Amino acid sequence: MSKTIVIDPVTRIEGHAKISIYLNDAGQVADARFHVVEYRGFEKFCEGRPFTEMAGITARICGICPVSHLICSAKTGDKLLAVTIPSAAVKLRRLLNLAQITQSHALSFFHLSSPDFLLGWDSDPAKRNVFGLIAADPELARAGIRLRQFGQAIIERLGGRKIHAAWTVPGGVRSPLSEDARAWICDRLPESLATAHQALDSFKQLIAGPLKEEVKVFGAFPSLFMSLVGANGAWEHYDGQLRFTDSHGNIVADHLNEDDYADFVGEAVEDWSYLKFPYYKALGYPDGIYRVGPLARLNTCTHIGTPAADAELRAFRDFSGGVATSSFLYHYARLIEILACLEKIQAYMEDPELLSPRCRAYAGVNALKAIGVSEAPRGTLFHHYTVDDDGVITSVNLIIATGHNNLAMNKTIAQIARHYIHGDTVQEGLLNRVEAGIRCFDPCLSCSTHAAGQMPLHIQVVDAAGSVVQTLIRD
Amino acid sequence: MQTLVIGYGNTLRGDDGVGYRIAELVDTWQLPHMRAIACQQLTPELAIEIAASDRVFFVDATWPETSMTTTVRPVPQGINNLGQTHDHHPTTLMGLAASLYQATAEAYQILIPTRTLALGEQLSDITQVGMNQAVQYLRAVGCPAAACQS
Repeated sequence: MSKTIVIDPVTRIEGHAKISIYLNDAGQVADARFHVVEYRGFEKFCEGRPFTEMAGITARICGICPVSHLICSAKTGDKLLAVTIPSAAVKLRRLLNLAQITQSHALSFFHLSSPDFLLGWDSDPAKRNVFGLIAADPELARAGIRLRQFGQAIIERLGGRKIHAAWTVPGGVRSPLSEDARAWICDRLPESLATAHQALDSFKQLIAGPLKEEVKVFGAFPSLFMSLVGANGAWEHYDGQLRFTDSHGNIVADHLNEDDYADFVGEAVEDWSYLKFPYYKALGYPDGIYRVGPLARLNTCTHIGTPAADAELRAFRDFSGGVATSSFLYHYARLIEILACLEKIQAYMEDPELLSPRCRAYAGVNALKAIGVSEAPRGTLFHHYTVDDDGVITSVNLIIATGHNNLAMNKTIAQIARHYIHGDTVQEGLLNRVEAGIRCFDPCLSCSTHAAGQMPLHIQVVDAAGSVVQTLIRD
Repeated sequence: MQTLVIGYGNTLRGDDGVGYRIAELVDTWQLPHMRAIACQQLTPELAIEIAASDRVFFVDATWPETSMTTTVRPVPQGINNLGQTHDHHPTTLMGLAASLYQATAEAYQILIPTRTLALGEQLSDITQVGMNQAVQYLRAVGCPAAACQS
């Protein structure tokens, strides 16, 4: 008799979802599904609003990655104005995004994922959390929070407010970096760089030792990878063009413009999830599975452009055998990106143009449709607006980074479940491994589905007849 | 006594934004011993801010139809989400501040009644009333009568 194991909701991710694991009659995992149970309705809400408000509106979808939406929305607004924004504005927006990536990755690694790495999957669930981490390694916990605070503080010093910065606007930004802010950033950079190096050293030891198996079974499969790349294939986060590569490192599609995204990205719908399933159109659904985010950005780029991060990128590729196909290595990629961001922030502190007051271009509505793209911490983000002659939004489509990874997240949990779960009596640590497969992607389901809510954790093993065989509850 | 007011919530979700709005208002008072942080959700780096304070008020919306009036209560002990998401409970945050920085601040929740958390930027009547109650309370806390005239 087949059985279903349900993990509801998944902990330590942003948003709400559940996982169902389907066992066959032999007690082996037949399939697993990652259900997103929230409902989107956000795009409709935006209709009738001036496009100039979209940055502030979309930033409030989620309190974790608002800057990503601010930047993508502003870029979309630039195109509606049909302006080329000042060079200073580009650099200031880049600085903002670098800070955003730093703080987001810091939270993901130090706070949400490291309890598993350092305390072990099978440790007491009551302690396998940030408090257990603090007990085991208080300095690491403090360093992680300080690193996140560093990124948040840069955002605040640029935008005036941490989360809902009205600083990034169509046409540029409202103000330059101040001398005080620059001095503060320079003062804190050495500590942040040290934390990034320390975390990388620690993680490399873990994946070479205690976490070797996880690298092999946490979402290790071939797929395409998509991200922005810059000139000469450099690592990008703000601009550039889109590239798809495969698991052998071949470029599958290159120099793609965001305006044509509908030509190469399709969106499928499944009746068991509110999150759509984007796929690379040329290969169809579901063969066109691709991944975005830190792992993809490091796979698609040729280099990063800063010395320490490039050295770590070489080590990353040596470890991976060229292309990193294991979703577990998202954690490694995140740490390298933190280092890259910090080095690039450091370089910007030497650039006097960031202090220039010429940081905004002005124009009226000169286009009625625009598509903006940028790299959020979790991956490629698209904003697509249509407006009337007065710049009032008539339609909105947002393709969120996490959505791109939906197929890959499903495949990852199925692989983990098949490896660790045999039979209908499931230990909590095994279920945590399945959840951790999702955490590799650091998904933001609130963004993807634009909703909010609270749910207790309720895990059920349910047989095909609907009878509860086993129950695990986390309050 | 240094008092920190953390008001949180999503201003796009109707009454859920009341905590954020209250913190924004408190921030405009520019009181010498009271500062305010408005944020969409509670995140771990707030533990650093808490550690620098003697007293903390967490201002938040309640679930719709669960309360009719603004309440103030100590932050519960022992009920928390163990830091398992990006979004923390006040108990978790106080625990973080204590564990990491040996913070000993008094901690309270100010809970505002709501009617709806649907998409929207307006506050319902019951939340408006609750907001006024909370603002009066914080004004009295942060601003002894002799020092404040407005």
